[in-house]
Amino acid sequence: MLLDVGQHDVSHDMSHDVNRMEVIQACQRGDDEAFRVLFESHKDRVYSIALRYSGDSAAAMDIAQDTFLKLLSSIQQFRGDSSFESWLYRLVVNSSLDYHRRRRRFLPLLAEATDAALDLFGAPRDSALHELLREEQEERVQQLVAQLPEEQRMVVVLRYTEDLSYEEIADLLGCRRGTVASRLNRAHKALERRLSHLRQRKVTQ
Amino acid sequence: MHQDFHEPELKRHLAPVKAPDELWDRVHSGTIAYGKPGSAAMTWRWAAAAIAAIAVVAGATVWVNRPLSSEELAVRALNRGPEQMEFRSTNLAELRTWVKAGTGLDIPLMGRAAPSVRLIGASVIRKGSPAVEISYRVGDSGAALVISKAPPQRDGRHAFVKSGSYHGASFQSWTMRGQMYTVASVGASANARLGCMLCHSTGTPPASVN
Repeated sequence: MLLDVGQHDVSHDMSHDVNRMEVIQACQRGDDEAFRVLFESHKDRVYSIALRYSGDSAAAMDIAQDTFLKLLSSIQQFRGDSSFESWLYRLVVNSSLDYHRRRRRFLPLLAEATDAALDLFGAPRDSALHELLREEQEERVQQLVAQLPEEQRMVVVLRYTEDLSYEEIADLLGCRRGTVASRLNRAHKALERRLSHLRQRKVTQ
Repeated sequence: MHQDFHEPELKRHLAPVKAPDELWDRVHSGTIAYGKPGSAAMTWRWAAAAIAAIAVVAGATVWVNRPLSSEELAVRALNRGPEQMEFRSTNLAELRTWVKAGTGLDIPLMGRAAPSVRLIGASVIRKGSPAVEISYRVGDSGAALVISKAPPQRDGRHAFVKSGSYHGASFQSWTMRGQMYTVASVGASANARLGCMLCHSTGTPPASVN
């Protein structure tokens, strides 16, 4: 299975898989509680991908909501051929891509407005604002990622937010490992110039 | 190498975060509108049922509005009964004029029907090509005659076309002077020569009537 983690107690993993499959089957039968269990187990992962991909918390909420609604409506189709995580990853990836396509025409305007707003902040003069600056930098990185081309952005998010291997990303996105490496390399290059600007600001801080 | 330089920074800034608590509210409210698992299957079942119902209604509509054969028209007229005739008269000349005005069809019936045949009335059939139905009493039973343009493939000469039974009524069809005639009857009037009796008091047509 794609995303199973190794180096664990095998019996624990097996009982965990059995329990999870029972939850999934209960959800397939329309059990509300089972759906809640699935939601609680995966909400952070889904939301994180959505947030890192979109660079916007409101958009992330929309994407996460859409993902779980898709999960609910299509869980009957889950047969266990791949791991549930893989299946869920595909849902959130598709929801993210769908969201991006719906909003594509507005993104350039949004990016310009974001850049302008961030320029207004400039380098903080008060060291008490260090935490704010850190958050701002994190937000800034997130927004830089959100401005990457769609195919590069998803690779970056799956790699750095979910810590997936190249092979896992390739399997999820339906492309070759070399394609993943190539996209990641292009994303790194595109981010280098802007991230170095962030580092300079940290140094001056 | 760019990757070595960026990875720690990207991992730190793009690390997983905790989902807001209100996400469940959003999802839960969405599930209410979205429906529970299995509702998709129910939706498809309902859609299939709706499509089937539409197909049945459409089929019935097509069936009801299909062009009726002359024997169907005649049997239907027979079942309608004389009281529902648009024009009630025992006078053949009056009826001929009324039909001519309403349909353009001429009824070259010669008024020499057999004594047992009594004219009651007529109605115009307005669906499709012009046609008229004429109601008779033959003895104690009813009979209905439908007259329409002869089909193009027939030359319209006085000739027998077909006979048989339809929904319990007997019928006979013939062509004459470019028009198609079909008479339907039940009971005692279901006479094989009824068509001849409408015009010929002897019940037998002369050698040539065209």
